[in-house]
Amino acid sequence: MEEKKITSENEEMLNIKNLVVHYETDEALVKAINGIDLVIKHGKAHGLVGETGAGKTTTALSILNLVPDPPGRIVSGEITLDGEKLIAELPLTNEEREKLEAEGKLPPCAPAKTEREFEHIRGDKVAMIFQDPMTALNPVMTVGDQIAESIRLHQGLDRAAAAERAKEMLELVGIPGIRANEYPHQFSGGMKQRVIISMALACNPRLLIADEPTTALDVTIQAQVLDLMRELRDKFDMALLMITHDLGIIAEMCDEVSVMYAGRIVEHGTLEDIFDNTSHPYTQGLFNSIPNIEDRKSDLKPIRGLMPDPANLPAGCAFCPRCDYATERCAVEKPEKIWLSDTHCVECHLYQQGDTAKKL
Amino acid sequence: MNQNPVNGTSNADLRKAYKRQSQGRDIWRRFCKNKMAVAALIVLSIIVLAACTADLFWDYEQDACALNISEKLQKPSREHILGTDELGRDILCRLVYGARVSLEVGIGAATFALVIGAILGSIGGYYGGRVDSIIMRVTDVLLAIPGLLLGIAIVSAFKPTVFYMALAFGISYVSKFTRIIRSAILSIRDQEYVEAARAIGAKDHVIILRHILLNCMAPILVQYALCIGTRILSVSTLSFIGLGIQAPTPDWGSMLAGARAYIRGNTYLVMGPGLALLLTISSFNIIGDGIRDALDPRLKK
Amino acid sequence: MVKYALKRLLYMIPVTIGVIFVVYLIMYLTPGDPVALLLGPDATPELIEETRAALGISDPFFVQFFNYVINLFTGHFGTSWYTGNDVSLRLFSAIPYTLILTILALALALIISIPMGVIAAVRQNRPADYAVSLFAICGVSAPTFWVGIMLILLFSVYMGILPSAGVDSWESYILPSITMSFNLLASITRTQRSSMLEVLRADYIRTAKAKGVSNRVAVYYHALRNAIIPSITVAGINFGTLMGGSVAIETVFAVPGVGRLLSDSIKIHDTPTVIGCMVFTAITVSIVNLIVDMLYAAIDPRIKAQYLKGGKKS
Repeated sequence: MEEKKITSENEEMLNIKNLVVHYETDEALVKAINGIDLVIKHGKAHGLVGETGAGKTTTALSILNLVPDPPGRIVSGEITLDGEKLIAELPLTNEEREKLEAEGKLPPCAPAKTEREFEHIRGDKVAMIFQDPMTALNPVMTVGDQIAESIRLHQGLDRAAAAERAKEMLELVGIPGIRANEYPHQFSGGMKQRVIISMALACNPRLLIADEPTTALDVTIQAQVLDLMRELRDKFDMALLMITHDLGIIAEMCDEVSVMYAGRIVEHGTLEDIFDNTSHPYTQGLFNSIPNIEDRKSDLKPIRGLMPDPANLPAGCAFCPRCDYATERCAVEKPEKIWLSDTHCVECHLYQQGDTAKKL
Repeated sequence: MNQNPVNGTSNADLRKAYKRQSQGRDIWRRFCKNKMAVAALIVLSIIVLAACTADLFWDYEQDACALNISEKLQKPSREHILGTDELGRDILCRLVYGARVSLEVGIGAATFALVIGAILGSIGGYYGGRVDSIIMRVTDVLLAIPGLLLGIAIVSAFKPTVFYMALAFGISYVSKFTRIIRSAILSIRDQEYVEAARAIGAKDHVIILRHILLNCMAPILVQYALCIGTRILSVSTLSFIGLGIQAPTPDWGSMLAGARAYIRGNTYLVMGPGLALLLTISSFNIIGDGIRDALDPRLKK
Repeated sequence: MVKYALKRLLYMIPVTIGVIFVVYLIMYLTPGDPVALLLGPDATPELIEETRAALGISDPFFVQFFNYVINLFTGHFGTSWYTGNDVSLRLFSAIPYTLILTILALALALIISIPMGVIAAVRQNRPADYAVSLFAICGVSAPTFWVGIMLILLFSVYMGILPSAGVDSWESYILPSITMSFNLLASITRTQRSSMLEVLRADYIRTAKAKGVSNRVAVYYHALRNAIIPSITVAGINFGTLMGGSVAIETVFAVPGVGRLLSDSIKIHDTPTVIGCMVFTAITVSIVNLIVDMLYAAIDPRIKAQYLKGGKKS
């Protein structure tokens, strides 16, 4: 397997800056992502945690430029992969920039690569594992063909060699190579997810995006799949963007964590920052919602209310209606990003510039 | 379960009914957004209105049926907006009266098919077992005979009147309704609210009618609209080959059959009835589509 | 697989007998005395009685029906009340014309409708989609015999490039087969469009794109094989309508096929011929549905697995 060389001296694998994604339908303008920043260093695992509908999957699809369009549209922001711009802001003169700012609009952006170049990146440099293994495989193609397709596309192998590689990939995830000729319906859910993982890893990607890879699986199978992923990540030394709503998985797999809420990253830090110095009320709420293994009788304290409708976000902090610490200011003013340490930042009015983390 | 003492329905029932009502309004709102569907509804309303009020403008015996050879094959003029046919009758007048026959047979056939299909489908779906498999075999047999041919056979065995035609063309559609209703019932038979209704002691047929039929109303409505369209098509075909509505009763199919010999030089003869059929049938189809899209907004954008 | 096909073939027998029963029953109830029809008004009572016995129409209904089915298995469709010969003579000479027309129409419908449906789905809510959708809604709504007349007007009367009737040359099949395919073409287009729209939103299409498959391959390779299944179903279901439509189309274009034979026979109350035409049509429809089932299995491994397990299609 040839080692892909790091194309720049840059130590960042992925850099997302000020990303905004909207879904525009006849009925409403859904603001799925409202300006997020995210950096993943080479070989590191980054967790993206949040409730369903927070914009996690849309973030992942933006990286691959696969946001369904229409209705989805990457409105503004920049995405840089390994030093190469994927999505770039359009060059503006200062005048235009000022004009946009005066109108409260964001600078527009566009894909910096052609669709063909994106096709070369997808599955090769960046691979993605989807949430539901039951529907993520094409029911009328053998799993071997589906894995081999990716290998043929990116490594230029002929049909026979690609089929051989596909078998090896299956063996790698613990499935006998002989099953390459079977169809997805002949595999169980856990096995299907293994197939999908082997498909994603077939071309030795530098960044793996895993979108809730275990949510649809039984608990015992979850652990197996996670172990497999961890083992393979060490082996291939790739960066990982782990999307989940399960803090347990984050603790097990990730180096850094971003907490996402209503299209914003409300808290970001290292694993220790988030787990030991939980700062945002929402993050705290997430922790309170998990059963405590030491004290099984303790009550769960779920976060009250529901996430706001992304088509109709509140004027101030999006979490304000559900927050126990909310003040009047929270209802009207959007909080800014506050750095509590070099690695830990939070978007919350409870903090001011220069504060250090305080455990809520 | 909370029992409402006044009329014996549970609160959950009332809530469901309310939800259904507001859903209905939602569907109607989405339907109205579909310009094609609204246009089709308007066109259809005009056709129905014209068919109902035809007697205000014409005398049926005199204008639609009686021969008037001296005025035959006149091109469209001020007096005869669409011209006259090969026997000198006003084409517009015959078109309007022809709408009556088409609509009567179409609606009659669809209603007949719906009623029989609903009965068979509910029995099969609800009770299952041997009854169900017998009913399914019967629908298999009916599906194997092309509807038009079955209709032709029945009509020729009896009389080509509106009643028998509705019956004949309804029968071939029974299978379709039976299957729709059966599968709808199978999918909701074991849902909780049906169980709940059974638990409070509702009778079997009450359960079937109240809970199940009301809940699978939507796909039936779609199919009903489409069915009327296809039945009108079948009836016109039957009349076209001379086995349907008999002369001199005006019917679009037989008008086309009569005009066929004169099309060289008299193109206008076949335009009226043909377009009338196309407009009427496509209106029913578009309305059916519109209802379906309104029910499932996911399919649209 | 072969076992399943055989099973389905066996299942066709009771369905076909059911069809014959329904048709036979309807025709049995038809008024009209065939003997008077055959012999004319001058026949003696003895002759009438003799003919009745020979035709078997004085037997009770179930005896007649039973005899008919037995004869059918030996290839006999009964005696025509009109010509006095075996029905199969006229029926078998009519069948080729109808078969050629239906096969041409089916092929034409499939070849045109599937690409049209795909294009409409890929360009959803754009002009191409609107054009295809409008064409399709007109296509399913237009009476085929009227379409036939309009085609004759255009190609025979005005342009004079194609024959308007008869079966004298290969050109004379062009207009009838186009006319016949019209409805089916439109309904497959509609189905193909909506199933394609559904499939294009499926997770596995996203998976395919995420591994770098180009949009074209995703549409024509990954999506099409999945989206084509409902279209084949519709082709199978509407094949009966296609066959039924031959009654009017063969009248318009003066094709001496089964449909024409059927409508002529009805007009003269030639019951055995009517039954023969219906039975032929029903058997053809059943065979086509069998082929459709086999096609599913070839396309979708899940269905194949179901068949192999011996499970019935739901």
